[in-house]
Amino acid sequence: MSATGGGGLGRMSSILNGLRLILSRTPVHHAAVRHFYLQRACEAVHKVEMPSLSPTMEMGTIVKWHKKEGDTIVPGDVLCDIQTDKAVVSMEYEDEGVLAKILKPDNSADIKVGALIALMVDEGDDWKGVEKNRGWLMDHLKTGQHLVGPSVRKLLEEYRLSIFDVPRSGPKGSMLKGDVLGYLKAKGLPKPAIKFKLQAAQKEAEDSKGQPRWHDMPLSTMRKTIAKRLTESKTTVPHAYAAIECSTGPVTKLRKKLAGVYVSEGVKVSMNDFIIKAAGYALEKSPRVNAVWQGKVLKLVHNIDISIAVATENGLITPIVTSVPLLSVAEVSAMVKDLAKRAREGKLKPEQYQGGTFTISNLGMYGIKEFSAIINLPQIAIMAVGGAHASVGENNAFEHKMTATLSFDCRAIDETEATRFLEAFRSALENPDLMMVGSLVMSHPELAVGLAV
Amino acid sequence: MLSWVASVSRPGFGCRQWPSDNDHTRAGPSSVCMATDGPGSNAERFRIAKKPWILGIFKGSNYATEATFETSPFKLHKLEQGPSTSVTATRDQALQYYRDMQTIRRLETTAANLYKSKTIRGFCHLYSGQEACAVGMEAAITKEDAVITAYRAHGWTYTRGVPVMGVLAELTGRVSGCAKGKGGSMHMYTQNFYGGNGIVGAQVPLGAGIAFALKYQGKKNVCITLYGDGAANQGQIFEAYNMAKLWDTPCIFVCENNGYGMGTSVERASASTEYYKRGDYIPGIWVDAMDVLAVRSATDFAKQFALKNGPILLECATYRYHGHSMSDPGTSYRSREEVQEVRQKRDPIGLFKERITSAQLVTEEELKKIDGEVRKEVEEAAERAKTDPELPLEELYTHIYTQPPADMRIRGCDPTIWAPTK
Repeated sequence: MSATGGGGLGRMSSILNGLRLILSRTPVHHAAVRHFYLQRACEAVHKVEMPSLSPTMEMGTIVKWHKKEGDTIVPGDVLCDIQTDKAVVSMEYEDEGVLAKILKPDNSADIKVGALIALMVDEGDDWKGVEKNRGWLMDHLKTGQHLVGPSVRKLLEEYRLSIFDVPRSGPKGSMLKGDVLGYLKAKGLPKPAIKFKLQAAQKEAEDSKGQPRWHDMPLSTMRKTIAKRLTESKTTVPHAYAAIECSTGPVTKLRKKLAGVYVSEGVKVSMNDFIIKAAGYALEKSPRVNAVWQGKVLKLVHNIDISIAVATENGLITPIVTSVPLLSVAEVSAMVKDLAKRAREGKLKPEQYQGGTFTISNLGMYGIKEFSAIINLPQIAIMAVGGAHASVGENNAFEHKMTATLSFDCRAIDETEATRFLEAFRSALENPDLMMVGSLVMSHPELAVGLAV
Repeated sequence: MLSWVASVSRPGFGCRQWPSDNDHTRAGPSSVCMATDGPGSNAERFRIAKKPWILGIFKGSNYATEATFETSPFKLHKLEQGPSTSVTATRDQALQYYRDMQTIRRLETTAANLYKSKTIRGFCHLYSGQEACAVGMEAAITKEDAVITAYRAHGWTYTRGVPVMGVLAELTGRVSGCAKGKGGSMHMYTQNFYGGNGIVGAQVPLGAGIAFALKYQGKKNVCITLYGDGAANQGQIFEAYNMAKLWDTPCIFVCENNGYGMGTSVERASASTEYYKRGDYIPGIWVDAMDVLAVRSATDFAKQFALKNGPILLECATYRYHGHSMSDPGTSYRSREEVQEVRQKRDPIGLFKERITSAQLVTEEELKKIDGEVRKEVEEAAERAKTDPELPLEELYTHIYTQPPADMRIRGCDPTIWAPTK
């Protein structure tokens, strides 16, 4: 470019000298200025940088170019579609010119705002020659402080050479392909066998024996729902916890006593069934715990429908034992067995797992001593039950005890209400007769008022 | 290449480029050839080369010094007679209008780019497409007349006399900005330019007040009070109409109707889109504001009218190329094709360029030269606007009161801070 310019200038000045004698009126210096201006304009290369197309955009992805190299651009033309942090937005160009070089092709991800993405030249300029002899384009290809082009870099990598091994002869200390080829010839280096490298990510995923270190498991819809609901609960509900120890002796004694009767009737009641029944009794005693959120209003529900956490292959599901106080322990037992079977087979109907008022999660049968659970929104409390363990009771007598931990929503009830519930639960479990007698509290309507929050 | 550029015939007398090596049309010493990089055909080149003396005469006597144009017709409301549709422009005027419009366009393009590189932050409403409004009106008034506009203010700030540098540096928040970087896009001011106003429509009552002040002071000047088609539906505008007419203040209300408010078209937002009639008892004129000379003619008429009879309303039918602001891509309520069609067929700069070149008032080469100069000026200003320093923190407390007492202090956000003010 510069060579042509110099020649043009030289030729021009000789013409000018000739003309000056003849043409007194010709504005000679104007012509010179004009020519100089054209020369300068030809040099003009305009950088197109990654624009910030949203107030919070830091990086963008070029989804698709709508123009190709060599296309003439008029103001308002869409150059490409860019995915910002918010949406895919079209990038308009405000000037006219020719798209000379696309530096970031389709699907180039995570390009920083301000990074060079394309080059434009003025119309009529040589757009194909834009790459040649452009200092700043070389800057773009810089590796550290040293200018290294792609073919040079490829050669260096193939022969495992460092950039410091090869003497450089290019402008501004850049390394030319000829430098590397000359060096290889002089040293007589053999062409190395090219091994195709595994993609970095794939390599990382394999151990030294080439066995995969992991495999990706897509989340099932159920897992996603669990994740969403539990995250919502744990992040938006102020959880508080209270635990109580209950003696399991009385229930065990009762079960033994009744064992003969139930066996002859073909029914076997478990500890879990008594726990559900006792929780039903406790909810009757403290009706404020038997509530669900409806928007910002707390609904105290008259029916006591207890959700029971059941583990399935896909995750936890909570089928509902409805109207617990109206059921006998044997009926609770039969219902739980049926629901658990349906849950494992994936045959629960929506009404069988949606709409409970309280949840019990029992890991006692697996040897867990105690734990706490996350509230199952829109409910306001969940009781986590641990297994029976040997303990010392009153009068230093040996007895079995289990721990029930109540997680409750502090917005809905406070510690006193939680305590009242847990005490009622313990007294029912330790005095199974109470479960049979039931409670009168629900017949007092003044306790069943809605609380607006 | 834009269609209107291609259709312009190239008068050879302005082309002072010497033939290149492969150009065989070189003739005698006095011949001047076509530039070889343009769309000129061989036949055209030959025709021009054969008539060197005609070209010589043209060059010697220069160009036509004045030309007459016919503007598109005006629409009138409560007026017997409207502005003249036959307008003249001198060569110098043509060059000046072209330069001003091109400067505003380049300024706004640069502002858009600076915004997209996060050099300009905050609000930014661009004037591209509406240049003929500001330039045409400015051409019909004097610097003693007042102007007040809304937040699409960059173009007006320039025509009112603030250099490009003052506008761009204000946008980047630098000390060299016309409001020392304290105002930004919406709050630019200069002599007899009452700003850039951020609140939609709120400048209109202010404009009526400025006009009242001019009348009160016995000056023979008007106040141009601008608002957009979106603000035109505000109640306070009708209150301002009432007061202005009641006292017959010399106020020219100007509705710059660019077809779209913030996110919707005028048809979806206004029960009546005939904005020039909405002053009811105030006479109105509709003007094609993509024609700078029509705007000038209408404003000229309006100024004379307002000084004699009180307020008058101008509706400037124009178009904006960008979104409402930088956070509006501008394509969700209109198609990109529509914008491109206006750019190519109704562009105020393109239309004016075609008119003045085909009337042989100026040459395309001269205009190209102006383009280059404007580009250079704006680029240099942009560079300074990026590198000039920001205002020191103490300046936060200055320019709050005019002539405050010497020991006056201003409270900061924190009640323990009391800073001196000037």
